[in-house]
Amino acid sequence: MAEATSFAKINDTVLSTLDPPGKKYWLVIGLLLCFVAAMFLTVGYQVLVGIGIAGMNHPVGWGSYIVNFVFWVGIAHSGTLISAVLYLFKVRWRTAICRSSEAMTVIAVMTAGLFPLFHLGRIWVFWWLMPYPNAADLWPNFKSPLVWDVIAVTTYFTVSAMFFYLGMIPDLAAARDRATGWRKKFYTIISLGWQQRYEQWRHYARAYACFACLATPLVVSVHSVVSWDFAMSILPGWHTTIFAPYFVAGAIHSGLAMVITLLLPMRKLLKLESIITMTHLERMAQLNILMALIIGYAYGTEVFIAAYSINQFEWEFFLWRMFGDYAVHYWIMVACNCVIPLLFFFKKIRTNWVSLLVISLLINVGMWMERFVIIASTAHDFLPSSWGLYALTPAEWIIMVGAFAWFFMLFLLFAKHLPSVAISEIKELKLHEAHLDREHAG
Amino acid sequence: MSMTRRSWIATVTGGAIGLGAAYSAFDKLIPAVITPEHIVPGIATWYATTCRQCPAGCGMLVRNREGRALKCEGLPGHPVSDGKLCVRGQASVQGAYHPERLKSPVVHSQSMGWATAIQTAGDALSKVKRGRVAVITDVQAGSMVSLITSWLDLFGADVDRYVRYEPVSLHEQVEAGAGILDRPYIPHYDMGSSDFVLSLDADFLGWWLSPVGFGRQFGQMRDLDRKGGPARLEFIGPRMSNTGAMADRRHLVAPDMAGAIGLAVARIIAGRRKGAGSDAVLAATKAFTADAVSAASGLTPSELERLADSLAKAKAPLVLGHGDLEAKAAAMLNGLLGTRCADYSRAHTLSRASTPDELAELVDDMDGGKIDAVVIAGTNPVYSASPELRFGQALSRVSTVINLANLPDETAAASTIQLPAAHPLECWGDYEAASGWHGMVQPTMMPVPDWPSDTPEAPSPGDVLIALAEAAGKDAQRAFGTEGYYGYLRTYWQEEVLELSGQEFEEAWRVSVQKGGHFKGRSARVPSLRGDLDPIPFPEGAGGTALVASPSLLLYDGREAAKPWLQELPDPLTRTVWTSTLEMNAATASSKGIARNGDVARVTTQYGQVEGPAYVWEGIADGVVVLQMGQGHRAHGDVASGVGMNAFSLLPPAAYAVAATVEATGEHTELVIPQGSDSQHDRGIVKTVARSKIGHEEEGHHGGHGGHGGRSLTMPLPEGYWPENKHDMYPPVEPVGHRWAMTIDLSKCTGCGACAVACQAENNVANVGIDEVERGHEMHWLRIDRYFEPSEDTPVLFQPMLCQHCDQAPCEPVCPVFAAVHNEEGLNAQVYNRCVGTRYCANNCPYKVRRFNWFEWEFKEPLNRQLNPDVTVRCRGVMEKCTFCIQRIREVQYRARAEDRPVRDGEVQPACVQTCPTGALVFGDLLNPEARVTEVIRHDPRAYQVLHHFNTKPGVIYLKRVIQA
Repeated sequence: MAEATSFAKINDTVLSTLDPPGKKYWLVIGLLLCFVAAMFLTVGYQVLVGIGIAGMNHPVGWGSYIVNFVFWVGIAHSGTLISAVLYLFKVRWRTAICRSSEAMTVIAVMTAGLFPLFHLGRIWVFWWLMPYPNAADLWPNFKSPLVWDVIAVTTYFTVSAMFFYLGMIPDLAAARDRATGWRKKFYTIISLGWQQRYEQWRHYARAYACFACLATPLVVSVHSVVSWDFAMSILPGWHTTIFAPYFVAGAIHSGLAMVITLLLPMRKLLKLESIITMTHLERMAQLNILMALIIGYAYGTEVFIAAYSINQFEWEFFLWRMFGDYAVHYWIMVACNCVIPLLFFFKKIRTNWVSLLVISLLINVGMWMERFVIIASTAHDFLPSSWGLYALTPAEWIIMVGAFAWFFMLFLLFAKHLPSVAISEIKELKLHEAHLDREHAG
Repeated sequence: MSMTRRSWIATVTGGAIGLGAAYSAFDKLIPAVITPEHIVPGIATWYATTCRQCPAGCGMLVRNREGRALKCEGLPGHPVSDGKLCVRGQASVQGAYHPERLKSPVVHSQSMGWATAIQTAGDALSKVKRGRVAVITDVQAGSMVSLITSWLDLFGADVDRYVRYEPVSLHEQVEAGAGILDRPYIPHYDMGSSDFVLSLDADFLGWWLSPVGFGRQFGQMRDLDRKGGPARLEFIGPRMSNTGAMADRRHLVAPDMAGAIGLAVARIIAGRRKGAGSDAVLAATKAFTADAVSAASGLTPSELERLADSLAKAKAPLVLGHGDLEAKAAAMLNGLLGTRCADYSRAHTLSRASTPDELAELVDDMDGGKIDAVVIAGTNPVYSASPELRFGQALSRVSTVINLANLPDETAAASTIQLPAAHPLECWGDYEAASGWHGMVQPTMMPVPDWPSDTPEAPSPGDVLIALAEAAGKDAQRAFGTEGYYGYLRTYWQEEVLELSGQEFEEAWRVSVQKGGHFKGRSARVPSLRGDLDPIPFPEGAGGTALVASPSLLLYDGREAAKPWLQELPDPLTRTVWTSTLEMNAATASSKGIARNGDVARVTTQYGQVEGPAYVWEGIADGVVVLQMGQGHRAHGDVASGVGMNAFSLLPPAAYAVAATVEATGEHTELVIPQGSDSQHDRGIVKTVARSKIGHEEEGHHGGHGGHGGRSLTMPLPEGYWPENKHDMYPPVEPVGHRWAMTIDLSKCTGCGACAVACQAENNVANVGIDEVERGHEMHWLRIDRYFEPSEDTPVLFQPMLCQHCDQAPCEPVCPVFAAVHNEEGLNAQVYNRCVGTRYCANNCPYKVRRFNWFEWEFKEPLNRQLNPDVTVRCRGVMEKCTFCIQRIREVQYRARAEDRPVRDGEVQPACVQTCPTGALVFGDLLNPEARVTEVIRHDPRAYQVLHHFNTKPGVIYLKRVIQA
C-alpha cells in the first residue's frame, strides 16, 4: 500500500506540472517569441540582400553561425549521454533527469540545425547538400566533411527525437488518463494507444534499449564528425588529429553545464526538488571536473604538438592564438573551461545552487569562446598578405540571441506540456529499491 | 464564373499581351534593321585606336561585342606599347561608361538641346573682339593642333593663345635638352638594349613619360637569357617608387639631391676622360664636387665613384631624371657617355606641352580682362593649376567659358557653357606619340549617353570647335572643309602624314585605320653635349621638411580619379584604397609626433594646406613627406569627390617639391588596406636568389619531395604523383588535351597592377566601395601582394596572387556539392550555378584567392554595359575566383578547331597575361613540350611553387626574383 501511495505521489508531482499554465508563463513565452521573430526577420533580410550583413569576410569565411552551430550541437550531447549511455551502464541517478536532458538534446539539435541554413550563401538551394536520387544523377560530394556533417546531424536528430518520444509514451498515457478537455485529445493521440499491457511493456523495453544502443555511438560520432569539418581542412589550428575526442569532451562539458543551468530553475519552479535532488546536480558537477581536465589536457596537447612539430605555420599560429588579436578570447576560454570548473572539487561549491549556476554558465561562455577561437582561426593562415580579423555584426547578435530565445521557448513549452520527468522509470527505480530493501530486511 | 472556351482564350491572350508589353523594355541589342555585314552577334569586333588617358600615346585594341566596347587591350606591333596596356588604359572604358557623363549641353546651369547650346555659344563667340579668344587642351599632337591653330586664326588670335596644358608637363626635360644637348625636346628612350640604367627619381615603371613602353623595355632588360645577362637598374630619389622597388640598388635622398648626385657622377666621369665634352662638363659642374654632394646627400664619395665606374664601364648606359636638376644631370650624363639608348631622332610628344610660363601668361591675360572667351577641352586646370596662378579667379573674369568635358569636373563647374564632346573611344582623332609615330583614334562604339536628339553623331572636340566657328559666323568651310572633323582629319593625314593622293591615299588610310596608325621609321640619333654649358648652381638646401608631390601610377595627375576600378585598386606600394596618404619614414613621423599609419597630419606650404592620414614606411627619404597626385577632387562626380588630398593645392607652378611644415593634429583615421601583413614573416613566399647562385642553392627544410633538381616544385601533371611522390591519397587527375599553367617571373613583375584591372574588365569583377573593402569584402580575383623586407637588395617584393589552379586543390574535396571541380584541362573550375555558398573552399584555400559574393553587387547603369557577355555575372551567395579566363581559352580552341589545327603556344592569353607590360606572366599548355611554360617549368632553376610543401601542385609557377648585388 505504501508503494501505491508513493507512486500516486510521483504521478501527482510530475503530472501536476502539466496543469494549464498561468498568465506569467505565456507572458514569458510571448517575450521569447518576440526575440525569435526578430531572428527570423533578420535571417529573411539576410536572404534578401546577402550574407554581407554578417561580419564574415575574406579571409574569415565562417563566423558566428558556425560557432553557434557547433555550440548547440555540443549542448545536445550530454542529453544523450545521460539518457542513453548512463542507461546502458545502469546508472541509477540518471532517472530523475534523463527526460529533461533528452528534451534538451532534441531542442538543442533543432537550434543547431538552424545555423548551417543561416550560414549558406544560397539558402534556397540547401537541399543540394542532401543525398537524394535525382534525374541529373548528381550526388553530393561524399569527400566533403560538410556532407558527413549533414548526415551525422540529421541522423542524430532522428534518433534522439525518436528515443525521446519513445521513452515518453507510458508517461503520456498517464497524462492522458488525468487530463481533460482538448488536452485529453492531445495526449490520447500522442500516447499511441498505450494500455500498459504486458506485450506493450515488453516491446517498449526492448525498443528503448535498442535506441539507447543506437544513440550511444552517436554521442561519440556526431561531434567527431563536426570536429572533422575543421580537422579535415589544411589550416593551422584546424588540421589536427586530436579534434575528435577533444570536441566530444567539449560537447559533453558544455551539455552538462547546460543541464545544470536548466535544471536549477526548473526543479524550483515546477516543484520537483523531491525528485531532482542536489545529489543529481552534484554528480553532473563531478562529471564536469572530468571534462575540464580532459579539455585542459587537449589544449595543452595542441600547443605542445604545434611546438614539437617545428612547423613554422603551426607554431606562429598558436603564438598568435595565445597572444595575438584574440588573446582575450583564448584566455577566457582556458579560464572558463579548464580552471573554474575545478572549483567543483570543493563539495560546498558543487552543492550550492548559486555557485552551480554561476559556474555552469561560465562553462558555456568558455565553450562558446572555444568555438569562436577555433573558427576565427582562418584570420591568420599561410600567406601573411591575406590575414584579417572578424567580429560579430548587430545582425549576428540578433540571430544569436534569437537562437537562445528559441531554445528556451521550446524548453518551456516542453516543461509545461510534456511530462518532464520519466514517471515510469522513477517508479521502476522505487520498486527496485523497495525490492532491495525487502531482500535486505529478509 | 465558369471558364468557357472564349473566356479562356481572352484571359490567356490578355496575359500574353501584358507579358509582351513588359518585355518591350528590352528593345534591341543591335539597333539595326539590316545588320551591318561585319557584326555577327557573339563574335567580337576589334578596333585599333590610340589610348588617350595620358600623354604616352599607347596603341590600343578595343573589343566590341554587339555594339558595345567592352575591353581595351594593347595593340600588337605598336611602337610604344606593342600589345601591352597599363591600369589607366584598361580603365578607359570606365570613362566612356561613366554613370555621371553629361546628358546634354548645359548653358548657364541650364540643360538644353545641342543646336540651341551651340548657337548660344556661337553668338557669344561672334561678339568677341579679334584676338580675345583662347583655347586650353591637354597635350595634342596631330590634326587637333593644326585645327585649333586655324580655329584661333578665324577669331584673329595668335597661336600662343593655344595652351596645351599638362599639369605634369616635364618641361624641365625640354629645357635640359636644350641647354645641355642643344636638343629642346624629350627623346625616345630605349632601355631594352641597355645594360645599366640609372634613374634619378624618374619612376618610369610607374607613371613617368611612357610607363607601358618602359615596362616592356624593362622586361627585356631583365631577361636572364639576354646576351650579356640582365641589365642593372639603380634608383636615386626621395621616394622608393615602383622603379625604386625594382632597382638593384637604391638610395633615398632629399629632393634635388638625386640631380646633385648625377652631376657629381658626371663630374667624376668627365674628370677621367679627355675631350671637349669633359671640359664643358667640368666647367658646368664646378659646384658639384664629390665632397660637397656627399656632404649634402649623405652618399659616400666611394659610392659616387662606384656609380661613375658602373656608368663608364657600361656598354649601353642610360640615365633618366625627373625634376629640374635631375633632368640636367641625366642629359649631361647621356651626352657625355654618348648613349645609344636615347634616340634624339624622335621627340616625345610631351615635349610639345606648353611651358608653365605660357599658361601663366594666359592666366595673366585672363585676369587682366584681355580674354573674352576661352574653350577648354580634355583638361582640368581649376583643379590642377598651382594656387599661385589663381586660375579659377582668372577664369571667372572671362565672360564666355566653353568646356568640352564629358564628365563633371572643377573646371566644367566654373564654365558658362558645357558642350559635352564624345569620349575618345567614341570619336575620330589622332595622336602622334613621338615624332613620326602617328596614332589613329577611331570610334569603337556609338556614344554611350542618350544625348538630345539633335546632337550630331559622336561629336569629337574637333567637331564641336568647327560647329562653334560656324555658329559664330566664321567661314568654317574654307578653314575646315565641309565634312566636319572627320573630313579635316583625312585631309590632314593625306597632306601631313601619309603624303599620298587618290587611290594610294585611300589604301594607306585604310591600313592606318586598321593598324591603329602610321609609324615611320627613322635612323637613330645619339645625343652629344653642347660645346659650352652654363654652370649649374648648387641647389640651396631648403632645410626642414620637404613636401614631394608625385604623380600617381593609378590616377596620374587626377584625370583618372572618377574611375572606380582605379580607386579600388590598392596603391602598389602603400596598398591603400580610395584615399591618398602623406607618406613619410618612421624617423620623420616620430619627429612630427606621428606614431602610426592613419594618424592625421597637417601639411602647410606657402601655397596651401592639407590634412590627411599619414602612411609610415621606409621608402621615403628622411625629412620628406610625399603626397601622390590625383585625389582631393571637389566636383568630379560621386566617385572622386571628397576623396583624399589634392597635391596641387600645395605646389608652386612647375615644381614637384616645396618646403613644408608638417604637424600631427592628434586625430586618427583608419586607413583601408586590404592586405593583412606587410611582412612575409620569413615564410619564403616570395623567394629571391642571388644571380651567382641560380641553380646552385640549397633548399630550406620545405624543400621538395618529387621536385626536380632540388627545386620546390612538383609538376601539376600525373608524373607529380605516386610512385615518384609518396604523399598523395587520391590518384592523379589525367589531363585531356591540355594542362594549362602560368609562370610569373618575379624579377619582371613591377607591381603596376595592369593585370588586376585587366582581370576586372574581362571577368565582370565587381567594385564594392571603400566601406566594403574595409570589411574585407573586396572582390579582386588577382591581387598583387606587396611585402616589405628588412633587406638592402629587395626592400619591397611584389607577388601577383591569383588562383593557383592546383592539381590537388584543397578547395575541391571540401565542397559538398561539386561546385569546385577539376576540369579535364587542369583548371580548377567553379560552377557558379551549383554553388550553395558554404565558403569552405575559401577557408581551405591556402592562397586565399577565392572571393565570395557577400551582396548582390551593383554595376551602376551604364557601367553594366561594359560587362563581358562571355562571362556570367555572379549573384549574391556564390563563390567566384580566377578561371584562367576560360572563355578566352575556349574561344581559341573553337577557332583552332574550325581551322582544323592544334592550338598554338601563346595563342591563349588570359587577360592578365595579355596586358602585362613587362611580360612577367606567361601562359601555356604543359602538355605541349614546345610551349614556353613547359620549357621554363621543367628547366628554369628559379621555378618554385608557393607553399610547395602542401603538395597542392599548383599550376601557377613563380620564378624567383634575381638579386644582382
